[in-house]
Amino acid sequence: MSLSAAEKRLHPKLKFSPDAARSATLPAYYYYDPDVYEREKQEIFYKTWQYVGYLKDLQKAGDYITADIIDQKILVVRGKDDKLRAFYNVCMHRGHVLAEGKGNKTIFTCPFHAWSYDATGELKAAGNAENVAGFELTDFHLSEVLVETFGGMVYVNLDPSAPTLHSMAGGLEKEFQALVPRFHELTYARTDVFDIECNWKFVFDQMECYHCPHIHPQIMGRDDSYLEPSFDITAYDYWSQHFVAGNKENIDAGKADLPYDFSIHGDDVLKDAYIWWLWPNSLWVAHHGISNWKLMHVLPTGLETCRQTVDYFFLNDPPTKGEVELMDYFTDVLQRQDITSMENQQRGVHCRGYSQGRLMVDDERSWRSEHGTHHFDKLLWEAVNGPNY
Amino acid sequence: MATESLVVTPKSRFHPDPELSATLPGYYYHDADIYEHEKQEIWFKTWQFAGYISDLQDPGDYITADLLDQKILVSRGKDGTLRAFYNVCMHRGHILAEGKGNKSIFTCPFHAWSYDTTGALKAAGNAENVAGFRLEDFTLSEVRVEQLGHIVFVNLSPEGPALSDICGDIVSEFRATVPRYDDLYNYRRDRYDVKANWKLAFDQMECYHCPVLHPQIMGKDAYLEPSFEITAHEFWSTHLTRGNKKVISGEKGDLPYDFGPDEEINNSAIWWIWPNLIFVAHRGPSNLKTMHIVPDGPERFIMHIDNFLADDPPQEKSLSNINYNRDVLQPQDLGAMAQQQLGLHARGYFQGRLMVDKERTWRSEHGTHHFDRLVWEAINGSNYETA
Repeated sequence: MSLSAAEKRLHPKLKFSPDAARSATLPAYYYYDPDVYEREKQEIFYKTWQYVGYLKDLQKAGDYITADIIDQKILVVRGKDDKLRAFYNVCMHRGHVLAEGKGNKTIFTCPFHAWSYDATGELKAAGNAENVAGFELTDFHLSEVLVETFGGMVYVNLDPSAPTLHSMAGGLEKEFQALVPRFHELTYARTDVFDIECNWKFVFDQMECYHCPHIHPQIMGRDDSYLEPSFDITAYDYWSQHFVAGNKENIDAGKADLPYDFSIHGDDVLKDAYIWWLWPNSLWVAHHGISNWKLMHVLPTGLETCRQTVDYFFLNDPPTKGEVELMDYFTDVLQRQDITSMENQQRGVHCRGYSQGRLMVDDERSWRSEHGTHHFDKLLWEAVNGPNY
Repeated sequence: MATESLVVTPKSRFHPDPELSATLPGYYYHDADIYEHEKQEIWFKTWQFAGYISDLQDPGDYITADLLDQKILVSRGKDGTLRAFYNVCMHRGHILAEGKGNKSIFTCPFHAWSYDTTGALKAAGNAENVAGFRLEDFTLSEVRVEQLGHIVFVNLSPEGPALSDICGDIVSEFRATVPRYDDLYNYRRDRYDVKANWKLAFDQMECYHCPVLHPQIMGKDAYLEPSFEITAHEFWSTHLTRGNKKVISGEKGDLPYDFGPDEEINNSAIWWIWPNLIFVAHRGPSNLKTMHIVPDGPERFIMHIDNFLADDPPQEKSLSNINYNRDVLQPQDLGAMAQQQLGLHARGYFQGRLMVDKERTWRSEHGTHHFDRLVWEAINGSNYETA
C-alpha cells in the first residue's frame, strides 16, 4: 500500500540538500515507503554494478556460479573460449530457473523440459522443436547481462547502457594491493550472514565515525581505545576510502584493551584500519593487525529488512587462532553494536514526531563529520529523484 | 485491500439505532484498508494507555510505551510536570530510551545527543562546527499526556477533548467500588496473543454469550445472577453483574474460585474506556484488573492483563481468582474470538443482527453496539448510507 501524502513527513525548516554542510538526513519515510523501494529497485539495483561472486569459483571452462539480485536470478559461466559471460538464469521457454548453486557444466539443461544451452547462452536443443512451426533455436538465446571483474570479484550490471565498472572503480583494486599486505595471496576463510531488521540504507548511513565513541567505545574514545579518533575520507564519485589510524601509543604501551592479537611487531600487519565503499552496496574492511580483508555485501530482503553477507579473507588456510579471533570479534562484537543501532533507527523513524534530522557535517570534514553519510544519501536521492532538490 | 465482500445484504445494515442495527460487516475484521483507517482515525487520535503512575512518582522517573509502530516516552520533569514525547532522537531517528527508570538526561545511544526532561536538546557533539545549527530546532516532539487515577494516558493527536473531560468520573467509580484503591499494586502481568481482530474483544461487551460460553458463572446454580446492567456515557461505560446469594452462601451450586459471602467486593464490575481499555473488579478481596488490547496486524491482537491487588502478600483467594481468570475465563472468551475470526471470512456471511431489546435486558447487545458505533463513525463519520 502506498503511503498517504500526510505520512510522507518533511521537516518544516530542513531539507535534503546537495550541499553536505547544509543538508538534512533523508526523510524518514524513505526507509519504509514501498514506492521509494520500488524506485530503488529500478534505478539502483537494476542499474548499478552488483557483486555476484568470486573468480576463484570461475577458473576453468564450464565453471559457473549463480546469484540473486533481489528478485533477479543471475548465472555467470566461463566459456570454452575462456570468456566470462553472465545471463539471466532463466530458461527462455517457460521461465523456469535454469541452474542452481555453482559447479562446472558444458551444457545447462533446464530441469522442466530439458531445453539445453551452451556456455555462450546459445540454445542447442529443444525437444520436439523440429515439429513446431517456424521454431528457430536462435530465437531463444539466453538473455545476457554485463559482467566485469576486479580484485578477484565478479560483478554484473543489468543495465546494458551502464558505464564500465573499471571506469567507475578502477582505483579500488590498486588500493587493496597497496594497503593490504600480500593482497593477492589472501584466501577465503568464512562467511557470516546477518539478517537485519532495517532498511538496507541504514547500513551505509553508518559510514561516519560520529557514532564510534558511543556505539564502539572499545575502539575509539576511551583512554584505552585502540584507534585514534580519526576517520579520513577520500571520496571519488562512486567509491571512497575511509582511514582510521591506530592509537600507536596505546597499542605499543600495551595499554589498549585489544580484542584480538594485533601482532604489531610481526610482518604483514596493518597498523591502521581501512574501509572502502563502492556505490551502492559493497563495503570492504581491512582491520588493524595481521593481514586481513573482508567483503561486506548488503541486499534488501524487503522494505524493512536486509541481509549482510561478510566474507573473510586471510593469509592462512586454515586460519590461525589470531585470524579466527579477529573474525569472531568482528561478527560477535562490532557487527552486533552496529546492527543494534540500525534496528533501533528502523523502529524509531516511523514515529510521527520525527520527519528528518540534520546531517552533522563540519567545515573541516573532521573525523566526527557525517559527510560520508551524505555522499551515499546524495547518490540515493539522485537515483530516486534525479537532480531535483 | 478491499475485497468483493464489500457487498452488503440490503436488509442488514449497521445503523445508529441499536435496536435496528446489524453487526459491523464481516470484512471490517480482516480488511487492510479498514485497519489503516483505524490506525489513523482511532489509534492515533484517541487516549491510549501508556503505563502506571506508580512508575512516575519522582522527578526523572520515565516509562516507554509502544502504540502500534509509534514509540512513546513519558517523563516526570524536575518541575514535577508529566510530559510525553515521541521516543526518538531528532538527529537520525534512533530510539531514545528503553524500558523504564529514572534519568535527568536522555542520551541517545547512537551519537549521544542529550535531552532533558522537558525535551530540550542540551548537547549535540560537534554542533559548534555545523553551519547554522541551533539546539532549539531539535526539541523532542511532544504529545499530550494525562493521568487518570492510577493510569497514564497519551494522545498522539493535538486535537480533541481532554481525557478528564470525557471520563473523569471513572476514578470516583473505582474508589466507590474498589475499597483500598490507593493500596492497589500490579501483582502480575498476563499476556495473550490472539488470532483475532482487536474489535472482537470489545464486541464481547454483552452477556448474551455468558450462559453459553461461561455456564459456570451465569447459568443454572451459577454464582452470578443473570444480570448485566450497563451505564453508558459517550466514551466509557460501567457494566455491573450481581452475585447469586444462594450460591455464594453455599446453599447450592459450586463456586468456580475461592470467595465467601461477605467480601470487600461483592458484585462484578467491568468498566470500558473507548477504544481499547477495560477494567474488571471481581468478587473477592480488593482487586482491579487492567485489560489492555492492541492490534498486531488486521487479524491478531495482543492483550495484557495487569492484576492489581491491595494485599501484599496477596490472599490465597485473590490468587485463586487471578489464576481462574487466566486459566478458565479468558480461554473461554478468547477461544470464541478466534473461532469468529475464522468464520468471518466465509463468503456466505456478510453481517449479522445485533440482538438489542427495548428493555436493554442483561441479554441485550447494546454494549456491543456502543463500541461498534464509535468504530463506524471513526471510519465513516456520520454516514450510514454506505457500508
